[in-house]
Amino acid sequence: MISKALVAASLKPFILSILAEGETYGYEIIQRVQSLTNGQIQWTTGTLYPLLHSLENRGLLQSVRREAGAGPPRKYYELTPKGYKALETEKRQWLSVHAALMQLWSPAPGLSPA
Amino acid sequence: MFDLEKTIATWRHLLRHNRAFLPEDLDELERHVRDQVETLVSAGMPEEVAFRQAIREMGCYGAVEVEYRKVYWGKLKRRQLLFTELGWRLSMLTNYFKIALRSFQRRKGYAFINVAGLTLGLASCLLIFQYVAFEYGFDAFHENADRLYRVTQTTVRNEGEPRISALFGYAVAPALAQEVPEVVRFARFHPDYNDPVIANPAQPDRAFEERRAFYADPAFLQMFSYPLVAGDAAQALAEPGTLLLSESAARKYFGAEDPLGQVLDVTGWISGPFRVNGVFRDIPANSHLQFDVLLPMADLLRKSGYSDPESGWFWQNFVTYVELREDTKVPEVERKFTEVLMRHRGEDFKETHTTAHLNAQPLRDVHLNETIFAGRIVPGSYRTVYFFALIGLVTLLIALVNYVNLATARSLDRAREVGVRKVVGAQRRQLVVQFLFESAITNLAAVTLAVALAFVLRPFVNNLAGVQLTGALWTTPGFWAIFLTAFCAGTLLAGLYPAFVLSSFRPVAVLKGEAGSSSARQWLRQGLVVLQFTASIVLLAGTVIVYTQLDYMRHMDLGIHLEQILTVPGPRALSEGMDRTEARRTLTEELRRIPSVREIATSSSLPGRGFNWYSSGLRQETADPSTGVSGVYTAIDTSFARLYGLTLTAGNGFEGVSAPPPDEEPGIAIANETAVNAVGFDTPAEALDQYVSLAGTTFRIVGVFKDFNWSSAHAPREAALFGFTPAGGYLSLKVGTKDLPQTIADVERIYKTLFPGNPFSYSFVDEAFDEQYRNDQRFATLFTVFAVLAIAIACLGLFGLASFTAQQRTKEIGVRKVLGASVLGLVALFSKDFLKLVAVAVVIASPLAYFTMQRWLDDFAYRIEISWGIFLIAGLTALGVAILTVSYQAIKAALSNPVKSLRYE
Repeated sequence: MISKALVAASLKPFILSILAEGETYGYEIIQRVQSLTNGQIQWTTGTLYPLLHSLENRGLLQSVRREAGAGPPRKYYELTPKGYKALETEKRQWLSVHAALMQLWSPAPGLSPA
Repeated sequence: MFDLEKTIATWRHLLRHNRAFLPEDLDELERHVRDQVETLVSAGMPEEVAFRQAIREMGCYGAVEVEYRKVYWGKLKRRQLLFTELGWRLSMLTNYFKIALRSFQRRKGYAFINVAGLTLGLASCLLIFQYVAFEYGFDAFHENADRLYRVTQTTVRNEGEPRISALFGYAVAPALAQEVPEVVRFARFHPDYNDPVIANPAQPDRAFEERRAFYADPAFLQMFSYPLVAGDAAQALAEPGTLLLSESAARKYFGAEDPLGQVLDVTGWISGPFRVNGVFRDIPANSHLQFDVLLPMADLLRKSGYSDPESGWFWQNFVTYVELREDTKVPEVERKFTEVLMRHRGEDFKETHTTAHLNAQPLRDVHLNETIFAGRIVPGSYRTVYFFALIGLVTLLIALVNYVNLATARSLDRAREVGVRKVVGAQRRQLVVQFLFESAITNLAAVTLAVALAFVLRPFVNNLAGVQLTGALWTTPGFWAIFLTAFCAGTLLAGLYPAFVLSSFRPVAVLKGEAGSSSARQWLRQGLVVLQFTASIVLLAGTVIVYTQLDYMRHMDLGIHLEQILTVPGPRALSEGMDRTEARRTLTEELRRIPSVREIATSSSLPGRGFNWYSSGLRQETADPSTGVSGVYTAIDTSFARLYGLTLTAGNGFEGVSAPPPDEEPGIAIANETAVNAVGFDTPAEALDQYVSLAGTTFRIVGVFKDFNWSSAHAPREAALFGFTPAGGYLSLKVGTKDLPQTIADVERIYKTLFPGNPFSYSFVDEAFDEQYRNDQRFATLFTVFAVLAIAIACLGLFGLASFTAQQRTKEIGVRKVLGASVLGLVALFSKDFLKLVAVAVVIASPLAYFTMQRWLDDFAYRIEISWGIFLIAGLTALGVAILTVSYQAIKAALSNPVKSLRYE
């Protein structure tokens, strides 16, 4: 199980990245994340949808409705240019943190503890 | 069959009222659910399971709500949300309301039963509340009530039983006022024991016998708050030769004329003309003193017997009230009172081996305290009030128990509804609120109806119980506080249990029809039925016992014949120069002429009307004064014994006596066997020609009566002396039964001719005697009312339970019918379980009723033995009623078409 803090921190990067692959909708996003992490991260509706709305309000996403058989139409989201820029920022920040940690976790050969 | 669309619709409907979700959000969530269901179904999961999983994975709505709200709060939607908040709350309420109404409509019968049961219980509780408030509120209307006290004396003679009396000699009150500084003022109150005849000389046919005429000190009207509508309160009663009338009395004597200043002729203990000095408002029902005429104490004290200064401490006929200073400590005052008593009567007490002390009884305590003897002023009783308060609470309890029981039984019916709602994710909290809401509505309806019912029934209750309940209760804040608390408690208690029971059902089990019959709940339900019926049976048995006792008392052999005896009060107001004895003789002779009059006798009192003297000093003349016992006295003539069928076991009685012995000699008297034994004679014969002393007067025994009952069966027979009088206050006529109205008319005619200006009234001794049981009759009636009420409520509950059990077992009954069971067999099978419960109730109730009623019966000197038969009757009645109630449902179920019931799904 991934810690709450990590799940929370990775929310935005995941959403922006998945949306960068193409327009998609809520349920699909949740499934994607689940399969990507091998079931270790399972978002709930309460986690995802409010964040999607918030991102849309801030202009990083835009949505369009499409009919989908029985029931209400589906809301498909896609990245706006602002969203792509935000994605770049996220990526950069995440990777620098990652690089720093990797220095501690994979030291020079010959110095591994017993 | 699981219907996805329908279920989703229900689910959305539920969430619609969740304020954190806008409609678009709901669309989104719905879309999400559908997508998930689609995925799961294509993976092979059944639709229903998929749906439930999707809902479950959505998580607790509370958390979802929080997440959504976090986003929205940050968006300055605050102001908007406030209005939507209000709008939401309103629509929430209307929603609960609508659902509640719909559930009532769907089950009108059940709703009716519930409301009816609660209403009956509440209404009776309300009425009893009013009754208790009435009884406890006696004399509270006096402004000085907190500082007014009645003086009482507790006397112990020869280490016997203490007797408490509120009657004193006339000198006691002034002595207390003088010697005890805490006493601000005093007022004495004294009945006119002759029931004076008062006449308006200007209109001779306005002459009436007044039974409620009293003498009072002038301070009386200042101490007590009996307002005057005419005349001056400060002046009233200060002047001898004046009197005060109540409004109705004034109307009686003067019609529409102004009574002030007019003169009335009074013939009583004091006779003469009296001027009307004031008119007071009719005495309200909640005053322990009830009077129509007030005469000045000064006039009374002129009367011989009271004019002797020695008698100030002995002729105990005055009720004494004192007003104490604001901040006095009562025990202190009582101690001082007793000192005063000892100062004046200490010597006597020592001689007669008596100890006594005085108490100051608070005015508010007077009405209900029945241990204190005050002659004509008859108290109510704490016991009766407690008793009825208890009954009221029990009835209410039964009603509440009903409600809880029915609601939980109903759970089966509503379980489906609950199941569906839970499947679609309704939170437990919402369900609880829903059920509490319904409970509140039922309670409110019941309360409103109960108040209305209590209002409508008040005149009946007044009649039945001889009380006067007023609407005053509605205006006392204390009452509302209690009432509202009770209402809230009732709603919560009666609503919470079913709410939690119902909302804890597991949805799948419920939908499959398995829930609701856990054995614990069965036990509870059955236990409650047993409780209700136990209470009802106790009340029923109690009613039977009360009636039996009443019947016994009224029909027991009294040792005296009271049938067909007409009594006429003798003429009081005699014209100038007429001698009483002469008058009596003339009247008797004339009356004898009437053929249907068989025998005439005269006496100073009548059976059932008490005695003339009550004393504690009955003894043989030669015995030590300290050995006196309680004794009573009245006077009769020679024909009395024959007329009433009394037997002499010794001596000749008043045979041949035509006049009392001269004053220097002791009087003659016939004693009853109880008196003979009480003063120490071994046989009646031994007592003949002996001398006894009663209240200081000596009598020679000339006969002994076989014991008989002069008074009601409440009290044991008193030791009685019957003195001789040729002209007592009452005439008794033994009449034939043929053409009674004619006889009465004849008597009246003669009476009126001989003694104009005297009101003529008559009564029959047996009827008057029966009057003593009036209170008991009332008690019995009220008791019956409550017993019937309790059983009605219990049956309502049983009816409801039976109907739901019938529903539950519809399939079973259908199957049995198909397999060939007869209608009778089915009814028996169905009723068996319920009847078992009632039988258990009978077993529990019998000893309970036995012990309770024994305590009540202990109060009577002559009482029945409680027999098995009574409990049998009560039990059978309860059983019979239960059978009737249950069988309706049983028969209905048994007669139903098995095809229909088996197809029921």
